[in-house]
Amino acid sequence: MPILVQHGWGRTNKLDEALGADLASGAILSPRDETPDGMAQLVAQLRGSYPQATLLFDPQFYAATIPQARDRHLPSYPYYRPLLSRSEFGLSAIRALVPPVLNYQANLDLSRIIAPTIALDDMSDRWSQIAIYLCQESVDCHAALQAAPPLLLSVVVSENALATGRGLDDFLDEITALNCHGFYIIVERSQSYAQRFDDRRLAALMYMVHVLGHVNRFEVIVGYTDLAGMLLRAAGAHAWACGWSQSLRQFSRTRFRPVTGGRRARERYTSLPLLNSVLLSEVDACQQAQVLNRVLSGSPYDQQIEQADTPLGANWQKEVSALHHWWVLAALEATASRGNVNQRLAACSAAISRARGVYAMLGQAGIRLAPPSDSGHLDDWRNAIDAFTKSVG
Amino acid sequence: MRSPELCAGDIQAHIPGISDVAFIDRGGQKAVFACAIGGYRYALKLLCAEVDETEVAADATERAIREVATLRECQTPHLVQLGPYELTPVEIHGRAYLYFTEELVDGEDLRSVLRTGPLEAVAVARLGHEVSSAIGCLWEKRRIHRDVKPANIMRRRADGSFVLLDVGLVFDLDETSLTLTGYIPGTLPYLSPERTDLSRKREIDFRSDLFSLGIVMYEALTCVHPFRQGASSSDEVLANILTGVPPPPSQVRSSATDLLDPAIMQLLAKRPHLRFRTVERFQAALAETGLLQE
Repeated sequence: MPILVQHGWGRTNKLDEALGADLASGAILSPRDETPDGMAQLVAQLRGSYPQATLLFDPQFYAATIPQARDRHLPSYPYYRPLLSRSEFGLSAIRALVPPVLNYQANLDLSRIIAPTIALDDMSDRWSQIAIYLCQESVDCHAALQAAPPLLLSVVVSENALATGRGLDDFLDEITALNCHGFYIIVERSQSYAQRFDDRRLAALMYMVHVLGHVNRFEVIVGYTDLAGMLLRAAGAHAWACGWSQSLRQFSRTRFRPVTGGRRARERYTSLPLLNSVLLSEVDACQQAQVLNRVLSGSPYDQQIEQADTPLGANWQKEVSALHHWWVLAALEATASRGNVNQRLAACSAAISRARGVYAMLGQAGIRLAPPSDSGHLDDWRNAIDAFTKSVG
Repeated sequence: MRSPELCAGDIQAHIPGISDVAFIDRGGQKAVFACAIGGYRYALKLLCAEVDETEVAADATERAIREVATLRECQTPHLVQLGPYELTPVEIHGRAYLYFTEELVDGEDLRSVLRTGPLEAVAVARLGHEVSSAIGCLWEKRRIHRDVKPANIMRRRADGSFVLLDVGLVFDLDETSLTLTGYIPGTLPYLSPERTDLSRKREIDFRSDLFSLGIVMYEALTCVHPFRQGASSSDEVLANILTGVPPPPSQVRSSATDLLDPAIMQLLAKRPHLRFRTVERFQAALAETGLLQE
């Protein structure tokens, strides 16, 4: 099953439980959130317990350009150099920066090696050229490694950069010429946690994934996808990743920026019929309106809610919520992975239509869900499918 | 600079070790003769070596140096081979020339072949496989042919195999550009879309040659050029190359197989990232059609 756990802060035993319950086939590990010794132990333990698991290590080099980054354990990794400015990415500097990143991973028992990259806010500016230099250098460096796992080049791009599509075609022309096994893609979201995704940006991301994964047959792994990963999988991604907390389900560089306050996220329930996550209080409202079964996902974890007097009173702990979320992703994976691209997209469209129907039914039952629990994302996704389909002919 | 206007007798009289010289063709900068060396037939290419009032002669010399180097480095039966004489100076009637020899392919160029009708699908698949081998061989040396077209492809009489000729326009990504500013080398109906954008010259790769090969395969299968349909001027051909989407070959010629449609249409994609990312992947797509014979 090509769903990976996006590892991060607060691991406890969530990784083990997800892999043990067969809800994920592997993990993308975060050095920011483990010491080097802890990382080595974690890889060894996971490899020992799950020999077939796909284990990846995101070097998180993109954090190196963030001033005063909240990079936790990253500076203790031998390859990491914080506070790199653009002037420090000359060709000779890049030649020096890349090998330690790849060599570090080559010494762990990983399934793939992920190349270092920097985050892009524009796909045609000077930073994008630096990103391509990093890719090229990684290809050259990887070729010199003996018996190393296959190389994934990484692309970290803000969704704003996908908004206009400017430079995307040129960028794709360049990276598709590189001799690598595949790509690890992360898109930085520009809003707080929600399933909404600007349709043009999502369509552009689908196009990127399609070109790399389907047209050019690279292995494409998309990180931090959350539920919209279903569409990326349908478009040609080979695997998608999602973590146990909101900050690990959708990517934002704010995770690496100094804390400016905030409050603890309220508990949410991931509803397969709605293709969304909703507040437990909203699930409560559904129970009161006697339409609870229409929004429940059918996972084995639902019994926590079904057996409680009220959903709000359920013992819906973070660990359970995380396992349930991956269970929903697995169900979406089944939807988005059968047949050719057209058939997959048709299946996604059908799921979106069904979700619209459930939202309409809730409306008729007098339940008005507020953003981000409302149905706005369904329009985004539907429009993105249309725009993507148009772009690939 | 014009190509040398010498006759076969001039050549035979001034270049040692050759015999049976016969004029073949005269291009923009070179004259081509057939000759015998040591009992084998070769093509002898001759160009003016003097730097005259233009920079073009020097440019032609540089191109010839590059052409010979390319032929020396790229060894595949599907790219014309260098003959026994590499670039050599000679003076004829008081003027300085350069010449070199290359394999004289015994066969017919594809342009002439197609005048008699389209090729069978099996032959088109072979054409694609063999010419792409030559393109791949060039790309291993970071070189692009830039003039893949029917007139530059020969079909050998002996075994029906295809050979890509005339690497005179080869572009070496690691060398200085020889092309004058504002001039697009190549043959317009076979240009890839990215070749029309001079600002991207250094970003162009072998996928540009694959686009041209797609046009050649389309033509070979249908006897119809995919971007000349309905065009009455070179501007319209160019517009079609940039934005027009031709129908699949099997829709143009009903007797043509549709097995080759996907591979040919992928070669004709407007952006390089939508074509094949390696020659091997294109050849694998051809193999999947079942049309390639052992």
